[in-house]
Amino acid sequence: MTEFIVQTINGLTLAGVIFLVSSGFTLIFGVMRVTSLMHGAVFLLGGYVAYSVIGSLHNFFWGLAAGTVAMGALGLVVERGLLPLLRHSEMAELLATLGLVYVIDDVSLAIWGGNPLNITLPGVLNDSSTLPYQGIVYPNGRFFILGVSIVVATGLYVLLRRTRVGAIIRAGVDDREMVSALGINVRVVFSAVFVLGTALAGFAGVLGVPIVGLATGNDTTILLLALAVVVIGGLGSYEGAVLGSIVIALADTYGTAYFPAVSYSVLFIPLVVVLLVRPQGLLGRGAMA
Amino acid sequence: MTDVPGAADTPGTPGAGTPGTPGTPGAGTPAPALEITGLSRRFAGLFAVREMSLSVPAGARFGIIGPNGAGKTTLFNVLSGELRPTSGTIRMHGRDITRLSPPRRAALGLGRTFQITRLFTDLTVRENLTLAVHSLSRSKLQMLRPWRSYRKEQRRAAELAASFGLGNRLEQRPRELSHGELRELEVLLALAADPTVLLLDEPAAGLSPAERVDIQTLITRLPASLTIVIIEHDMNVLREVANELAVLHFGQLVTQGATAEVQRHPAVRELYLGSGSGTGQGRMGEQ
Amino acid sequence: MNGARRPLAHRALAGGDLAAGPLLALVALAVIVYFLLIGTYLSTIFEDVLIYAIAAMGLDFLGGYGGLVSLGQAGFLGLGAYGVGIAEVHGFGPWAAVGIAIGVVLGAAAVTAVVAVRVSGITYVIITLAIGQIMWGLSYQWTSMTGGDNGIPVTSMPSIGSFSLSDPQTVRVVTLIVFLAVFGVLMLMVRSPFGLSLRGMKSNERRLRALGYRTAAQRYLGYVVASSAAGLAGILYVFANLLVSPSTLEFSQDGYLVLMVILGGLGSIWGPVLGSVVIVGFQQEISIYVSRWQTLMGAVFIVAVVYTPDGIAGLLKAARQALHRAATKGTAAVAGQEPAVLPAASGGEAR
Repeated sequence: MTEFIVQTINGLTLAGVIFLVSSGFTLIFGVMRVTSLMHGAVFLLGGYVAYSVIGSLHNFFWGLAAGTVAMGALGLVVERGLLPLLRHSEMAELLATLGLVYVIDDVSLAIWGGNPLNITLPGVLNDSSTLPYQGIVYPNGRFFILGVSIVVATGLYVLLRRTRVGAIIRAGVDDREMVSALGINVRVVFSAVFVLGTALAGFAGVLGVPIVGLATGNDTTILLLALAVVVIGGLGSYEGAVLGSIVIALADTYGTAYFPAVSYSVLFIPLVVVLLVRPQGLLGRGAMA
Repeated sequence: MTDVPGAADTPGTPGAGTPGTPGTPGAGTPAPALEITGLSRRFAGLFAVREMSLSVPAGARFGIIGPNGAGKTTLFNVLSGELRPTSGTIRMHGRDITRLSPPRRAALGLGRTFQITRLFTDLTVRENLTLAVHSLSRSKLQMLRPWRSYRKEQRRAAELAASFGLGNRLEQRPRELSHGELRELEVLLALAADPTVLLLDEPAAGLSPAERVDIQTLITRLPASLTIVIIEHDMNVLREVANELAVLHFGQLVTQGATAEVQRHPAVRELYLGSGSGTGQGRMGEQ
Repeated sequence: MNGARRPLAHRALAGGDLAAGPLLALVALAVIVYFLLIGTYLSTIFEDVLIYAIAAMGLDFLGGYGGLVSLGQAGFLGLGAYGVGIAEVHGFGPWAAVGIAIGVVLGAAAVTAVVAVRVSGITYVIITLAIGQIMWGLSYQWTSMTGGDNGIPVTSMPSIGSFSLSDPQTVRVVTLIVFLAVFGVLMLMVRSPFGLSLRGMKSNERRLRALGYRTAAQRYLGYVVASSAAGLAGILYVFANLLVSPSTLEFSQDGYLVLMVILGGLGSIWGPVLGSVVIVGFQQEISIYVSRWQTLMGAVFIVAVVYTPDGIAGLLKAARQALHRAATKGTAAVAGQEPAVLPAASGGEAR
């Protein structure tokens, strides 16, 4: 039972990180119909950038900020520089992001090498605490990550549901043409959403290092988890990303703990089930394209 | 609901039973080509089609009119299977097709055209027709024989095209055709699949007067054994083509009967000419 | 385009895009190149090109014609390879192993198709990616079956009479033969009624269903065909490389296959063969001179997606059309080249 509690908390902290990546992905898809296959690579690159910054400045939070901002900037460059060339062809946009994966991965390999790297959390976050329940000893860092994820998730929720900007974004998910027809500068909205999406991925990439590590190959794993999340939750749905993240992260955590030989594949059982029962995702709207 | 006895003497309605009477026909009377009973379709609180009952006898030329938003195309979408009805049943030649998917209904002889032309725009006219001609035979699953080698089917496609003026357009793509030719091709595709019941959704939509005459001619030349249900705004076309009309408004059947009678019906005149009623739109206009 | 006079084979291969001539030329070229390269190290590369081309052509069949692009094609390639390896580890002879591999590929295709056919477009890309990754995950984690990261070496080779696949030369001949066979079959298929129905499905699925086509069945069949091509490539792969490991079907491999199809020309079958030449060229040749070859390859791919979305095949077709137009300049309107003259009475608006 203790083991189960620990695994569950593990799962939830992983869910936090996955949610941060997935929410960006799902927003970008929902508003712009762009499938950002490079989101996993952005996650990885964010972690690498932070690693270097932390290496020079010896401050985790500067590293976190650097990773986030750098990935936001990358998003801006891609969205303004590359996407307009693709004339809104969804397939072409997807393929272009696929090409970027190779570029980002290779450049990262050149700069940081192929060995796994590490980022340690500052001070007390690096220690563990003893929980009142059953005397479980659990790393503080994970609580920190979970906490930060929840804070950001809440902030996103407030942004989407309680602000005008958020309303515009949600309207864009629903009906792009209408938003444009209402005189709102769709171009700015698109850029903002894309930048937000990549920044979130970068942020998650730094925050997630204590949990998933910092190594080549992580990008594919994270991408896949994010894709599974949005398919389960429904492409374009924020709440779906929350739900999907919890499902996938728990599946991954329990799978690794209890069925290590096939854990990676067990992970996809929820995905298959949802596809068979409700192809548009649990909280998705209408039939899938 | 005004009931008018079937016009058995009008060409195009051989052996018709009494139209407008729902329920199983008596022994010896062929089942109506299409029979709708209590059909409803809801979209989250709004009834696009409400408790509609209609009977279309075999071989009829049955017109459906009504203002925009009256539920005509929704009705067609339910009939063709693209939408599930919220309640009610649909029978075709006596057989319950309410739960069948669109391909299954097509296999049973139901064909339809679309209000907004839906052709295979990446394919040539010949390829469009080829798809239609093969649609109900096993050959459509053939993987190792070129479709061009099916001489009988290719001849049929060419003849269909030629008999309706598209004979020299076979190798062209839809984007190279005029709007009138596209609407013709739209009908041809449905015809090539050899239907017994054909649903035409505003075949004359967006056509010039001359092109309307062409479409009209096309429709009147269709075999008498084919049952046709046609949605149209243009009363001139319907006058020539339909011998019976149903009038829809807000998803409900307002009246039904022989074309001439319906045109004189006061409720219909109100819809058309808008005599002071709030919903009047003047002419139940062009699309 | 009057087919009446030309022999059936010509008409079969013509199918509306390229005439039979250039295609047969491609085939002849493949055979000639093969013989030219015998004994050189390039022949190994050529072999790789053919193996990946088989998988890429399968991808193009469903992706280019049916509009369903798979990001998990390498999964089935790996499955075919692992099928042979695992069977041999369990004591089966080489021919039995090949049979088992084919069975496993077909079985997996039949099962995963159930999920894959329910979706299309971007979701299809995601699902196939997931399926491919499931297979990778199994190859990596199910160590008792697959040997994990080390993979499975294959030592027992099938033979007929005096011809044995333990001779690398024989492997190459067999690869060439299988490639030509798959090429021929797929070229026939895309010109068949079924192939036309796939194109119809890509163009306007709703209309196709209204005509009576069961599009779910079409997708299912197309998926099995595409996956089988990849599985076949996998079987050849393991006899050519003598080893299968998780890296055979990791995500970058799925990506490479898509790159091959797009660079070569989606929707042509023969285009992906050229795409395979390019990508394998990057992997084996350019990598020698440029250590950041993946960056270069990625950049080239992005440029191609932006400026030549129809790939090499598209460029060649456009060149042919330009030549045709230049040759017939001044003649009266060539059928299919000029837009229809609008009758005076029509409203004249575009559709």
